[in-house]
Amino acid sequence: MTLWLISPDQTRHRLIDRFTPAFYVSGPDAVLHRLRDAAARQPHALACRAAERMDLWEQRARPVLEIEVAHPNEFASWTRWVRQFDISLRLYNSDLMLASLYCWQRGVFPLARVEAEADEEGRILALECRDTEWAIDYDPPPLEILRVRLGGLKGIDPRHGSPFGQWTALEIEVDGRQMELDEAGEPAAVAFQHLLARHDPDLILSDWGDATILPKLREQAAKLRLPLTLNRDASAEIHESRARSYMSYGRILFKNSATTLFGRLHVDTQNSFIADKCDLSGLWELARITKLPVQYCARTSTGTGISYMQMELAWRDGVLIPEQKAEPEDPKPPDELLIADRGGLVFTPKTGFHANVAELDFVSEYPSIMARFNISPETVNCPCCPDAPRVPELGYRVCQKRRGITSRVVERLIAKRGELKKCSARLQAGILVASTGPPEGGRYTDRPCSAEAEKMQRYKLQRDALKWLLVCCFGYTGYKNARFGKIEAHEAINAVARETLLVAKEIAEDRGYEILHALVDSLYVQKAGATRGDYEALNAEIAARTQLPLAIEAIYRYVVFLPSRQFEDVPVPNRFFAVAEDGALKVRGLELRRHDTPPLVARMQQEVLEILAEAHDFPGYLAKLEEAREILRRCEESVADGSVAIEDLIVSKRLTREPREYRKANQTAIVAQQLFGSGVRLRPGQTVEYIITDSDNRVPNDRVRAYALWDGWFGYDRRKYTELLHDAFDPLALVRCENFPRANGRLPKSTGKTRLY
Amino acid sequence: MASDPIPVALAAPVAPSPLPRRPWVLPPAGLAVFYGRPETPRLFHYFLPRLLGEGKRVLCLDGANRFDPLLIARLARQRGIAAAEFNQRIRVARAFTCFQLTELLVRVPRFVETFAADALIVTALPDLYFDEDVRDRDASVAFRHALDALRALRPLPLGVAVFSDATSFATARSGGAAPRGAMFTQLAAQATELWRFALDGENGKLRLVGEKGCSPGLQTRGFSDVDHQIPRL
Repeated sequence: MTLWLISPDQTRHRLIDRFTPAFYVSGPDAVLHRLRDAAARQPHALACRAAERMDLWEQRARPVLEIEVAHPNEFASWTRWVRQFDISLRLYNSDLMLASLYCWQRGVFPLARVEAEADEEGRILALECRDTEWAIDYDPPPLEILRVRLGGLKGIDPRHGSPFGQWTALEIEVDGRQMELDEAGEPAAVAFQHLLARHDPDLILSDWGDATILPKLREQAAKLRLPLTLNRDASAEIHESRARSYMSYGRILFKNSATTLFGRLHVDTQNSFIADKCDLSGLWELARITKLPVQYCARTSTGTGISYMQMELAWRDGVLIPEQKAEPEDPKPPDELLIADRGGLVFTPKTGFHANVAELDFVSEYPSIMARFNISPETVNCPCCPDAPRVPELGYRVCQKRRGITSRVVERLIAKRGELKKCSARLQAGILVASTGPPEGGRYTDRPCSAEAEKMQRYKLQRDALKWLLVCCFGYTGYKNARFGKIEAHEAINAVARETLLVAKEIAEDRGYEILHALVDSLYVQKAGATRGDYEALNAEIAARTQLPLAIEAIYRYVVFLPSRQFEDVPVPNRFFAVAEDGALKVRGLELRRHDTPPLVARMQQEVLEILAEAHDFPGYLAKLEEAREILRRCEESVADGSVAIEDLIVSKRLTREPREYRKANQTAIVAQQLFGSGVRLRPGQTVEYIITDSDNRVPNDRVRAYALWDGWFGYDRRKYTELLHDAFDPLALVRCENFPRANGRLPKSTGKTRLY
Repeated sequence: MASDPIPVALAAPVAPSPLPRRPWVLPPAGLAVFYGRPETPRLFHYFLPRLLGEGKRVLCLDGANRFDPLLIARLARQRGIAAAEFNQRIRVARAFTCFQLTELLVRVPRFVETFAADALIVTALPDLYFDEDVRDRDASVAFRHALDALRALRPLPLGVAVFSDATSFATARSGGAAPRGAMFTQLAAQATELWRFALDGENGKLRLVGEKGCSPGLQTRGFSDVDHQIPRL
């Protein structure tokens, strides 16, 4: 195993550690004997011994053959050899990522502080970890970072083309300096090689580096027959993986190809969910916690992270890790299936304007249920506890004798996230004390100094990264490819969550509160004249009864629940905005939260909501509405006179199928055809960006234009964009309030396309 | 004033209709394979009323995730039988991966110890083994284990019916030349009866064409208008 270490004097060391990974095989005795004999004929490559390991589902030790592989590079080929030896054999621990397995064995993790002793040839003699992945405060790794991106717009896939001939230059930032590599100077590959040689970065942080920048640089270097040392480790080849489309929660998604390096890290923020959402701090946190290699961690799903955390615990417990998920559903009667196969509980909102509303949220509810009630795939309906307490509605049993693997994983994550939250609160409190106290240091401040702000931001990003892990750990119990998944665990968690919400609702109603809306793990409650103290008392009572952590997310000055976009009398969950006591806005389900909304429309709605947030009651809301109309009017004018920047009109849509498989000429299909026609290879799940040029044109190709093919002479559809502005504004103007009927009795009805203003 | 429509399955019991006729019959023993239409994995529901009406018990291994408890309830009510009565005689387990389906088949002898099924219905065999995320070799091994498990059921007093959509798949993995292309052929070879669903060109009605091991009188099962429970395709 090759390790790269940075010593305190900032020297980079490449060290080699001897590592002999092992996998396990079970099967008929006779076949295992034959396998052992065959393995004995490979004394330099394999070492076999009989062993016993735990079967997670059967909860008993199982005799297996342990096969240790002398050279990790040959691990995959030897597992293949065993699979081909006899199809009756079952392999365990055989397809794990070796870097992670190494970390488990050595008790280290990526980016850990370690103490190493090595000989002159760089072979590790001793390795001690001086760090823990559960540490709250740790220094970010001292990496030399080279940032690279294509000039032009961020977020638009450069392989789709370049409007106005943009993206001609490579923008680079390294060592505090910024520079551009363009066609005017030496070839980009040559200049990039000079930078690599001069700065020897530890991390190349790119936008579109995976599928565009690094492959193009390599291509150019190869054409010019010049070296390009993207890898710091000259003995390894650059690894390129293929792009793919896949289904997730009924949606088709696209994963771009990846270019990963050896001896140096490459992270493409456009191809890394976690780096995009939680910055590098979130990525470091995730790599440390999950023990996945940084480059892999950046590109994989958080579900894989959870899966590896489970597997580490299983490995430490001596549990066999199967290659595939094979644990099926238990047979059940149809009516039981109907009850079990349900999700979270939703009480649709009471539409309109509501003042003085509290939002009570169960904190990380699903993970908390898993931790608190020990719900884990192997603990549900275990064979050892026939008299265990039953899950409501379903009657499933939960093991009372052993702690579930998933429960153990999530409880650690919950604990760390809670600790980070406390640290943030302490830091914040310290800042507040400093800001209101006497100016001992000669300085009053209402904002944290840069070091404190940086720390608080880091805590937040770490917390967010853990949140993403926690979010997916529930779904993973039912995921078809989760090795330790079991559908009954998924169903049990949902059943407990439904019961919990019902209990919470009953308590609140018993205390005279009205439930305005409840959505799986949160309740919006209201009572005339209720104070924060009242809400806190209610919160405490529900938390005590349900045995799950509940928090007041916010007390809102007012909440506006909006109806369906199609039917104004139909309430829909999760389409609302709320204004907290301090004026902060919470928006869900409105245009500004949608990825396909043109920036102009999203910005207009944001500005309008900010004005409405100044209101304290319904009359105030109506007054502010008039003020907000000015924003709408201004935007309409800019659309009409053509002064809107074209980037503000971009609509982004995800392809749901291959471009040629679309049967109707909707806007996405037309754009996909345009790009396809210009030689762009598109895959389902990819996003395309376009401008609406003439939405009602009889010629489909003239209705929209791919942004990547945009040229100045195209015009945009002013009427359509004005309509989109109204679609985002009108629902806010149609809000009603029970206690404040309007003077003329009824507001005008919106019929979708009808213009009211 | 028009009231909101009540979902059919939740509506009050309807008047009993004549019992289904000959077409929706499963063989009492052996392995019958049904295929031929994309809807095939769902069509097993229509074979259930006769079996359940006779007091037989059915174990369903649903790899297609098409089992519909509401449809079962409706079929029961159409016969004037309480849905609970049908429910008592059915057990269903879903499989979401080919490895799970194989494991379910391996466990059938254990299942029938606690639930003495007279019929076993399996859906999405081998369709589930065409998953592009699963390596060819792993899928092949899992499928061979599945066939072995089916073979091991022969001594049991259990009629087995497989409902497959394999032949209408159009993926690289299911084509004749692809490594998994032969899976359906292997399954058909192991079957004692092979039935193909077809749409009648003239009236667009569904019919079953016997292709292997079918008794002479039943080689083509047509469905008349009396069989009102025939799904509209």
